[in-house]
Amino acid sequence: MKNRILNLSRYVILAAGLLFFVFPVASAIEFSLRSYGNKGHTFANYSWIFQQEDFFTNITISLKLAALSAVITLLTVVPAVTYLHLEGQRFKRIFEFLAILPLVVPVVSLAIGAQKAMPTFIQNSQYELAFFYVVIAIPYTFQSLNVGLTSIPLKTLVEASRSLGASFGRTVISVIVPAIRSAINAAIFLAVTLSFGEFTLTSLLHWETFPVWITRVSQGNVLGSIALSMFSLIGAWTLLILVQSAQNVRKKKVSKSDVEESEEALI
Amino acid sequence: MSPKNSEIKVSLQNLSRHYGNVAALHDFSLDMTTGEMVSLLGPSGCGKTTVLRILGGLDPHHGGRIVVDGDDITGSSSDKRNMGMVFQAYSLFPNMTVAENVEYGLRVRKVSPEIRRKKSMELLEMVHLSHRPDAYPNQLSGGQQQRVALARALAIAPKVLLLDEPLSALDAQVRVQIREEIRRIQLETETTTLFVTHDQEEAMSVSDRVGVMNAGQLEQIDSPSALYNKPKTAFVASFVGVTNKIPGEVDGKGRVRVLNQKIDLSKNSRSAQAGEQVLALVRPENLIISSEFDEEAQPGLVITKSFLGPLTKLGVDLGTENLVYVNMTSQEARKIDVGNRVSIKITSEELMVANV
Repeated sequence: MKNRILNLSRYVILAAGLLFFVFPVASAIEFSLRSYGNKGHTFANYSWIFQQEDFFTNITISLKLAALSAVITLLTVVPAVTYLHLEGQRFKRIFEFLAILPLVVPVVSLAIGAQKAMPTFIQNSQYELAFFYVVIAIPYTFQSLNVGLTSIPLKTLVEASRSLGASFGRTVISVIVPAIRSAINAAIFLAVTLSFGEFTLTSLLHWETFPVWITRVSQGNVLGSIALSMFSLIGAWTLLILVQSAQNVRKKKVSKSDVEESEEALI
Repeated sequence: MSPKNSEIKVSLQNLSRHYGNVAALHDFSLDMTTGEMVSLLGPSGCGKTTVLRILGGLDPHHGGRIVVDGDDITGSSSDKRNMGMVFQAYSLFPNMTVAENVEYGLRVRKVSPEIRRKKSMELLEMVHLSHRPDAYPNQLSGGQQQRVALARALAIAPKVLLLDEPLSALDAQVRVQIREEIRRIQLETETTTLFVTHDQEEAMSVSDRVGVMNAGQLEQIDSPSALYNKPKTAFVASFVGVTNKIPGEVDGKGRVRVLNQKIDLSKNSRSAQAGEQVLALVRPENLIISSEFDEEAQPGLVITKSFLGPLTKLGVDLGTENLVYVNMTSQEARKIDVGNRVSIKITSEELMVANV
């Protein structure tokens, strides 16, 4: 009897959660399919998106910035947090505090300060945004990597690998990265999603990316703006599912010898 | 008991290590011969792991010199030392299978896949895990993981095998089994081995020599039996094995008056002045107990009786601060029960003493 109640309560909680999540999205989709003057449902609002000037330009730049943010996160934040765990334990608290600063500092201050700090040749390029996005994502990417590295005996693994003759570079590629792969994936997902949807800082710096463009073009079309939101939401999900699936397929298909060859090529 | 110069494989010379103002290791020297297994034993924080880490190149911030096979390797990094290590914590690479873990060091050395596979299978055979080459570490028990770690460390044919309390996370039965396997494999491969442990039984049962460390210094290094029977310091006498500390007094003739007896002071003992109150260090097996009254013996009351299989340990109250423990065969112990009045006598011809 007790088990049945427990099972039932599980289903109730699951159903409530699904409703909470699905209902607003389903309503928004339904709304985005309406036509002006209540003439039934149509895909007109979605076809309107593709007729807009600069749609492909802006979605392409946003995708490029998201990819660049992911690469910068991978090349800077991952080694930095790893180093902190290995050699800088006594600074860990300070870095944990510094890592949450982007959440505390107002975006206006961050935008102006970061812009001033950038070298001139990057200031004139829209790709400077990728560096800012990485900073904005740090509170999340840092925590994800921090948890991942805390969950493995990092120091022992590094010492074991080094004592077997591996260089530090090889140890990072062959031992550390595979051991915290899920934490790295999570950090990259966070960096990608945050960069893809960032609006305030981009707008303040007078650059146009997909979210800024959505705001501009949808001002005169309410139904179109919802269709755009749904389009970008579904687009982001599809992107994440594709990346995750690609990794799963890779994990299964890539033989160990291929991994070995790529390691040897890198080192 | 020090090795001849021509046989020396590893020479640790005047090693020191400080953490701020605290000396974790002070003027530590040790020579090891080829194929020898030396254990370092001591209480927590005595510096035994520090010695091992320094030899393995994992702690470069030390003083002194390290010579292996006649080469000074003091300044070389851990990846250049060719020393296999087995750690206290499970250290198998979680993303690699058992065979891949064993082959890792060989892969780093660019050994061909065929030779790697052959070597790893040989070693897995040796540690009785040849049936699980494709298992991942999380599919193995703690004991199996440590056996793979041992095979992995041996795969690179290390100059020295370093074992950093590799059995401490295992349960008692597995620990005994694996320590015997370690000794068997060490003898088979004739690998010079430094074994760090805080478990006396472990150190005494598998080592050629055991070094007892205290406060960053080597108190004594000797064969297990010499260490037990002829301790050179009071610390070694009280740390190795069970030792009763019985109050006594030194007389003017270099003897200790203890339990109604007068026994010579050991030449290894610290010097003591006539009339000085001391604690005589007496092993349980150097005491005999009798249920019959003996004028020369000390009377006491049996407080505890612990059955240990072939032996039984009796705790006797002699009116001193601590109980005095006596070992006797379980057969003989049948005659004595808790609450019985007994007489105790020391059988040793000489004693070491410690400060009160």
